[in-house]
Amino acid sequence: MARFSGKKQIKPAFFSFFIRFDSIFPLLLCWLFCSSFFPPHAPAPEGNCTGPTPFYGYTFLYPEIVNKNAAYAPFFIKWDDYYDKVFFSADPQRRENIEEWIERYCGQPNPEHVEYVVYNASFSELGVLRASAADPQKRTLLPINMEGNSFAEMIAINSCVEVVDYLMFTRKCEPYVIASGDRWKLPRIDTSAMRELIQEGMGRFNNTRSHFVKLRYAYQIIRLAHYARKWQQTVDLYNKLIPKIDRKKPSIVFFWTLGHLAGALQKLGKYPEAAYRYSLIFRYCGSKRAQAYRSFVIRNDADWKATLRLCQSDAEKSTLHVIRAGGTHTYAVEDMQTVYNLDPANPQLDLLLASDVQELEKIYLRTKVTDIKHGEAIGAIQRENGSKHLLDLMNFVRQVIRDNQTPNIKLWRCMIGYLELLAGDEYAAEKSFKRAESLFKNGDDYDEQLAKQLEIWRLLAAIIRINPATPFPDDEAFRIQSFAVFKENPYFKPFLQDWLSAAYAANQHPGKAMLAAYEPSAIGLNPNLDVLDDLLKEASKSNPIFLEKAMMMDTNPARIEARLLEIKGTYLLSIGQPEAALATFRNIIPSELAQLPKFSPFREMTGERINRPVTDTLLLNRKEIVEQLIEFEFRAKAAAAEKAPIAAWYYYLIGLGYYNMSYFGYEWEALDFYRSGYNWQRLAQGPVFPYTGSPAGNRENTDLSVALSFFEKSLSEARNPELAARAAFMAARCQQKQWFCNPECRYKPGSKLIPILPAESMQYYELMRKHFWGTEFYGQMVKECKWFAAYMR
Amino acid sequence: MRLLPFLFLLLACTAPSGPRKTGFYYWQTELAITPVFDAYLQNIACKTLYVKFLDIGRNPDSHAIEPLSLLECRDTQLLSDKTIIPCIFLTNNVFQDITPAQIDWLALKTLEALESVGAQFPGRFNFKTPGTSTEIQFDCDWTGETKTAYFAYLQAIKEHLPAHFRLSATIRLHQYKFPKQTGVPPVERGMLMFYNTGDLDDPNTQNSIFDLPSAQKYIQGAPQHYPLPLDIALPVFSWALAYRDGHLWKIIANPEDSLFSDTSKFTVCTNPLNFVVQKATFLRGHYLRPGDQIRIERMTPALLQEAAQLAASIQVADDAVLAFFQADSSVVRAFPPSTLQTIWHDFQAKNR
Repeated sequence: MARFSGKKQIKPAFFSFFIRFDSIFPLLLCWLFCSSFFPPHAPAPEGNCTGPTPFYGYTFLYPEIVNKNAAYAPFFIKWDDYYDKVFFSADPQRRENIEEWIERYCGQPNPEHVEYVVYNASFSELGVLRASAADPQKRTLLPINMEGNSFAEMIAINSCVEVVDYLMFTRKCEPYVIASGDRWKLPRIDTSAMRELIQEGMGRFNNTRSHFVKLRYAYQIIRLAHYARKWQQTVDLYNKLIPKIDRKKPSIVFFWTLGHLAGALQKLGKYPEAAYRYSLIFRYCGSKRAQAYRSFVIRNDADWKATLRLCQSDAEKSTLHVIRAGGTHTYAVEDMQTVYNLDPANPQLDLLLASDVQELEKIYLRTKVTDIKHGEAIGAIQRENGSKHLLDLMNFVRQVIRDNQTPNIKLWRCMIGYLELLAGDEYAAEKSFKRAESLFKNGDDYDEQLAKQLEIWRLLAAIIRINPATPFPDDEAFRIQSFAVFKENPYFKPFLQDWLSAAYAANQHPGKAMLAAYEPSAIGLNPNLDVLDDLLKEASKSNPIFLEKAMMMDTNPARIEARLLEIKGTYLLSIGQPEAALATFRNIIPSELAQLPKFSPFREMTGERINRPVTDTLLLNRKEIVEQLIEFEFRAKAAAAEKAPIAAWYYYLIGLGYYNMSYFGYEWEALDFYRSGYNWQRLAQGPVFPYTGSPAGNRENTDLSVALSFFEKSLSEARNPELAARAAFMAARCQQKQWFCNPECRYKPGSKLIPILPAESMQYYELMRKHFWGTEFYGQMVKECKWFAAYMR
Repeated sequence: MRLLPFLFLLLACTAPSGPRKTGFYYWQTELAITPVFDAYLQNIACKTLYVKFLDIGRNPDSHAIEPLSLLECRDTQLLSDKTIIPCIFLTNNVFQDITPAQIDWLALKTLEALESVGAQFPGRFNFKTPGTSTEIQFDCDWTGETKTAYFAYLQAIKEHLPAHFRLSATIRLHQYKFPKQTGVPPVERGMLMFYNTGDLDDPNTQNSIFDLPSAQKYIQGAPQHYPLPLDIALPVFSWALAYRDGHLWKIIANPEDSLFSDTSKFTVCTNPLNFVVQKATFLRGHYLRPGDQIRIERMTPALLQEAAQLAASIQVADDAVLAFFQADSSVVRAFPPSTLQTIWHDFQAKNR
């Protein structure tokens, strides 16, 4: 008795995936049910303009095993926000500069004090500081904000006027060299002011004795020329100023300056010269590594050869190879081999290794469920090429271990174990882990990090070992969740869910598969009979573990079963199968039936509000609603057979019930567990709408064809013009909402305009105007309903 | 009262009629018209330039919406006699997972950026009061998922602009054929991009820029009248597509004939426009590896003629612009002015 004549029922992709798979889950069921069963109304996302963070895949590499400062981790490795927290947000350029100033002052000043004077103090404050430094009597006080500032005190006591003059000069340069505002505006270039500053800087450079300060003046001057887009002048200034500076003591400011030279050289078309300098910055200067990596350009083979020729050593050449390898993972082993042959002790090899292992994790730690949740893998090596890649990498790692020339052999020994684990050889993996552990020394910080890494991988191995074909896989899943390392790594929980879900799906358990991967609330969003039946089967088993866990969770198994039956029955009713729905609801035990929520769907409400009125005399649970619908239909048919006018009234009540329980009615909750108001904006895309956290989206009951059919029956049976007017009015509302679901409809909810309906959707409004204008109901509606009044004009 | 929306539609569909024009898209981040290209434009009587003022996309790391590039104008000397239509390119993912508040924010930021770029053309653009420019074009390959947000964005832009501004939007062929499914943007005019007929990502496609049988499929069964007055854009560009591991990896714009002629590095396939990399090589800044597959896709004068002939069957606006995508030095070499003149003359005569 499928009555829904409208759109075809949609079979979601998720559903077909689980049905298609030949593949597992009982107690998670209960555990998961203990969290909220039905989703709350989703809060409207507001505020910032970042969308969802891209998902690169699960990684179980512990970030602390690679040296984040000495290497290139952020460019080759994805650890979600790890590097945002420890690297990018830390402003390494500022940190490194402060460290150099502290070193210059014999490690004495406080870093925060240095930061205030170098970066935050105003021009006028620096003016007072200068007066204090220049005062031979040392009677001039420090500015108020610098009282107690150890760095300012040292400058004043040591009469470092040159330093303060330099800092004052930087304040003058800042407006022209620091990006102001956001990226939505073009930067303002005031070339004449910049030219004057370059001249002033040159004069100051020549008059400064300290090479520490001279280098900084050179940096400011060259930067100004670069920002003024004077490429040749930038190169000329570099060539003129830098040789005059004693650079015996290394300084990061030199590499910052080199970056501006490289930028200008590139603009002048000198790509090899630029690329070589960028590679030096990449190798030696952590704070400018990101920019150097992004700016590195080799146009052709001639550029590459010319750049290699500029290198002073094999180590420098190996850096060029490291950068070249950064663009792709397909040939990572080959690239690593090249770098290794040139410079076996190159510390960047650790990063290339970690980066490549992450690519393999994307293949070997990914399931179909992961793809459904997050979409296809971003930038992954193709699965069919994965095995060869893994084997090649294992061979290379073994060679590095054999040669024993890498400075970090313990890392490589650990990594070979992880690669063996990814390859499915747990036995070999454990042996390799033990061999690596034998090298660890007590109290060594780095060894402790490696030990932590091994702990993570061992837990991962335990998850991979879970076999759904064994009697109690859920026990093992629960045991795994109790480990501290499980809670510390954010990837373990979703990975365990995906892994278990895929395994259950492969064992023909779509329900368990769903609960393994998603919150229980997802079941009600777009219910699926196979999922529900599988879960009902599980709930009805006298599985001791299931029951034990259930009791431990203080959850009554009968209630779980009742909830599942309630979802199933509600779904069946929403697709126009009241008899099937009733049969389902009858399976709910009486004590649970008493707990079911109550509704009042048969009231005549003419407004468009979707909130339920506070009180009513007739409150029914879902089972009683279905019984009432069936009863009304029986009475209507009987009355119609006897030509009794009451038939119209019963049909009208059924229509009201279905309308009020639809997406558009005040009692929508009777047929739906989650209604999104946002879907009003995109009704035509329904009835199933995308919803994060539900593999099959969220289904809204937007189809009013059943309600309309009952109003039409009521209208045809009605003898009383008042009842006929009511039926026609509700039929008109059904047609109006059907139009809102039409792709051609341009009406937007919230618009102050009266929605214009095409002629075919105005059929019952026209009927009202022509035939029922004299009824009391018509007059009442004209007064109460703005839209209706407009349609009737 | 119920007639109001109809009246609005009627007004929107009856744009004032004028003579037809030719136009050129300028899609680079630095604007400098060379005398050679200026002469080329004069030859085909082109006085309208659709200039990309800004690219908007999502930061791949933070996923924040931000401008990917703002036009920098290097030389305005040869622009004084030309109408410049600012264009805004938005990647489709900008409109994924975007809230109404963000849409309004984005509209305001877009206008801020337009204002900033427009300031490089003294006296030409003023997005707050009436000026010489009246059209702004939006280019986004929207989908069913992003349609609502994109259209709301256009609406918000419209609300923030003075009334004399006219918005136009690019229409892809699939959007032209299925307006009911893909929706019609709330703008006054559409620019039908009569190219990209094939699947760029598919290594087996012959020519994704234009292929007659594929283009015909978009025309057949399309509604007689698109709900917006249409201009039309034809392709005059070429590219080489590099595939790695079966996936499109890089696009190399306007490859010269000699680019893949070194047989020690590239092996020609059965199709002379397809190559396989034999030896690792740097090419236009990209490091190609052995096994990478290259496919050159070229527009030729003959292919352009075919495209123009097919495009003639499309109902365009009486005052339609025939635009060419896109302006760069290779166009002058690859397309003699006479080719474009012929196409232009045919276009003027047809579809009135």
